[in-house]
Amino acid sequence: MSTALALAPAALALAVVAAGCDDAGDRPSSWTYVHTTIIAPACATAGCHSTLAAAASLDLSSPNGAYAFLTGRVCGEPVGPGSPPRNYVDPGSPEFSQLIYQLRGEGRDQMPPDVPLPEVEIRLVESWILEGARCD
Amino acid sequence: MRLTLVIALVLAGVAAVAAPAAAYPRFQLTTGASRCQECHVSPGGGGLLDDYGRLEAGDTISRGGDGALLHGRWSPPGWLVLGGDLRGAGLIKRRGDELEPAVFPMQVELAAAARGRGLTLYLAAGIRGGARDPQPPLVERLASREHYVMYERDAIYVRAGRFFPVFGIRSQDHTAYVRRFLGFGTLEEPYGLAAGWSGGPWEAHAHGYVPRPIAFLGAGPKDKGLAVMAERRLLEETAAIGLQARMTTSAADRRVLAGVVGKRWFERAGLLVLAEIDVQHQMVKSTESSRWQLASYLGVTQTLSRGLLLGGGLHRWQPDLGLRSSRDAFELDLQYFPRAHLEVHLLGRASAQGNDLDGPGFLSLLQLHYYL
Repeated sequence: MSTALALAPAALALAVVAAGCDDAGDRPSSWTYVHTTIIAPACATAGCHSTLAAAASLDLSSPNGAYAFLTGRVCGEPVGPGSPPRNYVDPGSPEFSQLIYQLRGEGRDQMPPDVPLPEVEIRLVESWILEGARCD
Repeated sequence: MRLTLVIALVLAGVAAVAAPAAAYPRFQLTTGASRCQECHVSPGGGGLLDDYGRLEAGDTISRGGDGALLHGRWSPPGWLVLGGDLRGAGLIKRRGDELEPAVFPMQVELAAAARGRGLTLYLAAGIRGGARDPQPPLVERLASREHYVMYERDAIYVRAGRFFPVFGIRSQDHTAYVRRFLGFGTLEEPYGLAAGWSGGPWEAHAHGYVPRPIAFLGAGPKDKGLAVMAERRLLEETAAIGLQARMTTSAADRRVLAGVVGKRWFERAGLLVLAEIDVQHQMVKSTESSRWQLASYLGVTQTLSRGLLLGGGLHRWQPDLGLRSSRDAFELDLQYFPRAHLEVHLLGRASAQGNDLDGPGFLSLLQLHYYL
């Protein structure tokens, strides 16, 4: 009985089956959601794009700072399709946004380098860019 | 078939990342020590070893030698505990047809603790490692992951400063998903106030923490919170079960976590099983949307002979249980302690994202570790 109790977490860990869907349609494609749920935990880890390490001089730890680094714009500055591309994100055009190519490792170093993002999260970032990469 | 190929490739020798920070949880229960603090100064393990820990390092864990400071050539006064860790690593990363090798210093750290009348002053400082260039100037790589003051009396301790909560399995591998994705990555030690108690088969810990008070003090969590854990050892201290919970809040989100940790040492077979599963609810404040998350780990370690351990592990992180956004990893590692103070660690990991097992990535790492 005690052994079973001690090994219960193992059984639970194994019992968790693959779940979920490929469509992130009902998740907010706003910058604050994308930053909180994808960019901050995956990119702004202490040894990478944190304030301390700032690998490649990129500090992605705060929403406004990360927005400025990625888009080349100050949060609140109006942007939209037709705005000139800057830095890693071309608002309205994920196909011209370097960030997407880096997340997929297409022709550029893959980021994050150790554990790449799953496709469904990259698509959420694409949705944010496609909708104008606004800072909201 | 492809999964078989993945496992075969891992077996063939690819390796992955392990790195400094916490203790080796695989030594709990297996070496006659049931609590971290039997061998370490810290109640959570990791860092400085006490006299018993150094004795075990030579007598039980490695294939021989003197585990004392500087191999016993010099002994500090009784009130002073000294130590340090030097780690170097070489890795090869493979995704698709691309190979990326790297060699880098992983850890250069010295630690000291002054102890007396129940008080401990602890300081660890060093140069943080980095696998990728360009590296910042040396002065910007100086960091102190732990510095705290602790008071102990009988079975109770109170400590304040910078250190990890006693929480979860506390693997030495900071890339373990139950560490990395739950906010216990390297250099993410929070500032806080903790208290704990141990008595008989029980121990319990509580830790309140806040964001780092001064930016200069380095990275750390941006949230404040409370983490609690209780563990009970069973079966003549060959098994343990722990329950834990954590509540945190930051400007961006609020998270509530509950988890279970289990450990079982099958002495006759020389087999240790470690497992952890955590479920977390995250609420994103700006959008008032929420999601459930899950992190789990299952590891098995076989003691092949004294100083030689073979391990395997499964990691899973699901940042959003409603989406196909999981990260899975399978790893094998070989840990060799030829003499006290020396460790060679070869560890291989295959990882996949979003349940896509067809195109796994591989990361390999050979780590050489010397502690003072």
